[in-house]
Parts: sequence; C-alpha cells; structure tokens
Amino acid sequence: MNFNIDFSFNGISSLLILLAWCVIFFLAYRLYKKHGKNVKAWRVALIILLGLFSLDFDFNVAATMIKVPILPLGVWLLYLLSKNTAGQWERFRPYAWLGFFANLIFLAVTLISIPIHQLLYPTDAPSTYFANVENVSVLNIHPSAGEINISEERLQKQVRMMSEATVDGHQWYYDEPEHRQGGFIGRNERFPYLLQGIEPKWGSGLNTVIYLEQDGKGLLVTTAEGQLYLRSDESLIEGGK
Amino acid sequence: MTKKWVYVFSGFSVVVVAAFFLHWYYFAEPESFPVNEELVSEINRVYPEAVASAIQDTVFIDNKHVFVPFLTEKNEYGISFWAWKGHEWKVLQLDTAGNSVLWKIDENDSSSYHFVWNIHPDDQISYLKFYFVRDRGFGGYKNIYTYSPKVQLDKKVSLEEKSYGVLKVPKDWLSVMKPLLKMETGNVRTIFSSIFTRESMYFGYTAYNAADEESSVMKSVNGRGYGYKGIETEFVRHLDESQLEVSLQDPKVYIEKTRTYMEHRLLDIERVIQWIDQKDYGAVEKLNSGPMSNLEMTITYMKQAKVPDSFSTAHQKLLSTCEDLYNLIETHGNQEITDDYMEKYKQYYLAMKQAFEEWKLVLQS
Repeated sequence: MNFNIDFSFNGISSLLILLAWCVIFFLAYRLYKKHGKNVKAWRVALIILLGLFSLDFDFNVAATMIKVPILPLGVWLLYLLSKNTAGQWERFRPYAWLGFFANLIFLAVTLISIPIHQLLYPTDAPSTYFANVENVSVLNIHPSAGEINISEERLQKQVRMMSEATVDGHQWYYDEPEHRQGGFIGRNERFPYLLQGIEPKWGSGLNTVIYLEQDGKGLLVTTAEGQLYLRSDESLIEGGK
Repeated sequence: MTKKWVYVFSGFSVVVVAAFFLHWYYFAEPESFPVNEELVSEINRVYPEAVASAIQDTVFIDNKHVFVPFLTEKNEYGISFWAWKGHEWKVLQLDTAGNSVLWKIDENDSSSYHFVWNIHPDDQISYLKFYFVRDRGFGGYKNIYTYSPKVQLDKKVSLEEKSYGVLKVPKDWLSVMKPLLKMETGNVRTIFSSIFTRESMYFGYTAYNAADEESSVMKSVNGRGYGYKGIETEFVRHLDESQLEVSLQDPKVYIEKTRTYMEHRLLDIERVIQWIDQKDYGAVEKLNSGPMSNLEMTITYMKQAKVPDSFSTAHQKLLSTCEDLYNLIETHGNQEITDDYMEKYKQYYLAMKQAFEEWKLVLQS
C-alpha cells in the first residue's frame, strides 16, 4: 500500500483549476499582445510560474486548505534578477505580477469550489457515500466482533431509508460496560466491523471509512471532514433481524 | 570536422560509461550472499562490542534484504539487518538483543513492513502475539462529537522451533490499515510524517509461556546496537494484557468475574458464620442484610452470564446453591433466629463452598 498516491479524484476542484489556468493563459495572451510581444513566449511562461511563488497564509476550512498569498517572493526574485539589465524589469513586470495575481485566481477557485462541492456532494446525504454498493465485505476490527456476513441486498435497500442519528462519541467512549479485573480489559466495541467495497459518488474526492455497529443496524460514515451516523430499522447482517 | 567528431564521440562514451556505472551501482542484481564466517567477521568489524560468534540463519525478505539472527560470545541472541546497497551487501543495523523490531523495507509502503525478532530461550517464551492498535477516541465540541472505534488486530507466532523469525504485516491488517490511513491523510499530502509516529495508531506485541501466561522478555531487551543510515526500523511496543481488550463474551471475563463474585460472597457469609458459632444471634441479624443484597446481585449476574460450555454444569450447581441460601434468608425474613435456622444457614454455606470448589476444578482442567 502506498499512502502518498491514489487519493480519490476530486472532479470539481480539478475542473475549476483547469478553468483557472485557462483564465491565466487568456490574461497572459492579452498582455502579450498589448505589450507588442516584447518578451519571448517561453520566457513569459517562466516569469508567470516564478511570479506564482509567494509566501501564503494557510488555514483550513473543513478539510479544504485555503491559501491567502501575502508576500510576492517570486516577483521580488524576478526584480533582483532583471534590474541590472536596462529595461528588462519594465518588460517583465506585468507578467510577474500576473503570476502573483494568479494566486488570487486560485484562491477564488477554492472558495467557489466549497459551496459547489457541498451542493453536488452534500455531506449529510447518504447518497454521497453509498454511490456504489457492490461486493461489500466485512472486516473485523475488534476481538468482540463475531463472524458475520453482510446482506448486500438489504444494505442497498436500507441505505435510502436510514435515518440520521446523533454521534454520541462521548457516551460511546465512556458508557460501554467494561470489566477490569485479572489484568485485562473486557470490553465490547460498539462498532467492531469495517465495511469494504462501498464507493462514494464519483468525482467527490472523498475518502471514507464506514463502520458497522454491533447490532447490525447502525453505520458510522467517517471522512476527514466529519461523521454521519445512520440507523436502520432492520439489521444489515445476514440472518439478523 | 574530425575534431568535432572526437568531441561527440568522447561525450557519448562518457555518458555510456556513467550510465553503466550507475546501473551497476544502483540496479544490478545482487551477488550471492556472504557465507556465515564472513557475516560474523563483518558484524564484528562494524561493531566489535557485539562479539558475534555464530550465525543462526539467513532469512531473505526479498532478494535485496536479509534478516540475520546471530549468537554472541556473551550468550546473547542478536539480530542484524542486511541489504544490497551500493553494489555490496551491507549490515545496516544490528542489536545484540532480539527484541521485536519492525523493519520498514520501503517506508512509504506498509505492505513491505516486516516484524523480526530473536527471543532468548532463557525467557522461556513459547509464542508471541503481534498487534495493530488504533486507540478508541472521541472528539468535538458543543455536543457535536466524532467517535473513533477501537481497532485491535492480532497475529500469533510460535517460538517452539526457532528463537527468531520474520512476519510480514498480515494481509487482513493491511485492508483495515489502508482505508484508515487514507482517510486520515485526507487530501493533504503528508509525505514527511510517518504514519506510525502518530500516537493513536501503533504496533505492539505480547509474549506468552507454555502455560499461556503472559511473560516478560528480560533477556531479550537492553542489547547493544549499531545503526547505519539508510534503514527505517521501529521498536515494536511491548504491551501487557492490561492495555489490550478482550470481548465481554470471552471465557476469561466469565471466569474472572465469577471467581471474584464468589470469593467475595463466601467471605461475606463467613463473617456471619463466625457470629453463628458464637451464638450471637443479634449480630447475625444485623449482619445479614449485607450478604443478602450482595447475594441477590450475584444471582442476577449468574443468571445473565454467558457461560462457556465446559462450565455449564458447575455453573448451574453454583447458582442453585446461591439461590438456596438466598431463599432461606428471604423466607426467614424478620422472624426470630432459631438454632434450626442457623444450622441450615451453615449447611447451605458449606454447599456453596463445595460447589465453588467444584467450579474451580473445571478451571484447572
């Protein structure tokens, strides 16, 4: 397993980033024509890329990283490199600043992508997480897990009807019966199973972990952003009630 | 014209020679692994304090990584890590005590992780259990909580035949670890942070003797060691059972709980019996309420307990003797205490004690 690659594909942000590059290209082209092609095209590309280089103020909204550019380091660097040749900085300047300005375009794109993502992939809708329910298998993650099989048919049917319930983490953590005597801890896990093979909606870019509750009636959907707890009336375990 | 061709030709040959050299240095297939005598002298060359005396085995993890358990002149069981690097076999790390170590062949790929160990026979360990644990947790604020279930996976390895061994991180562990890691790393790429430095997830092990009792590995710790750059290893935590969970349905829980309950009940009642022997019926009356409610609690527990099959007869008997005594006390109520009642009380107590002895016999078998 390699955890540096194969992140799920995030369709919206990929599309918007592509769009942002188109805008940058368009603006660069206009500047290029306006200034009478006084800089070679490949240099323009290089200057813009260098101009992008900046010191950012980073913070997270939900699980999205927002970068606000503060210091135009690339622009300064270009200035230092070109000031000694007469007239060079003047010719480079518009493109360098375009590079820095591109950071703002990307910032805008990120800000736009959040509500769009939320609209297309609402975090509180089961359909976001259960787009593809095929070949589901159960993994036992705790000694208190039994040998069970999941009924795929029932899961597919129930998922649309399950109702959201409160994630009562504090209580689940503290109020499970526990037996501490004889040098070991006797305790059952409330969610002793992990479900494999359930895919979130295509293009959502979400990585999910879905736990199944001991009684077979609860699903705890976990993403980097938060959790969704769903309860059904019927057990999802084969032969369960 | 000729001069130009000389330049081109020499430039070309330099590139070819460099390419050959780089290929030879980094990618060439490994040569045969050194023989044992050479391994011993190499260990003693890089780390004379080891005083290695013999090689136990050479365990190939893949064609470029070899685990070599060895013995020392000081009667120690050591471990060494060898790799084909820079066109030679190098010992990358060694330790004269074979405590369990996790060897990350490729740090970024947890399916390449291997546990290795060499436990001193004097520790009398008959098997080890390895664990992957993710601690239970909850988070959040203002009544909006998140909850992380406890993950505890184990794998047993026997030490009966060999003091040493290698265990690749099991496949079923990887299928649990993979989604957990992927989710936690989210969309923020963290190439620099090793996942297992994160405190909630870790590997551990416990050691057991032939009687299935948890044991310490005194002789297999506190070795002397040598480390070279270019290897990623991690100590595997020695856990003890008090840090690990078992299912409430586990027979261990039943045994421990029933034993404690019964030992306390018998002590309660023994105290009453003392006053009976002294014919101090007033004290008996006062004391009786304690055993009474405790007994009721015990009976409730015993009726609900999930009894392992081997205990079912003994358990039934124990329960019925408890009920007998409880019924005796209850039907007697607040009536005056008589010798007859006291006699029965004592008799039922002895029956209970007898039943508990029989229950303990099942435990021993």
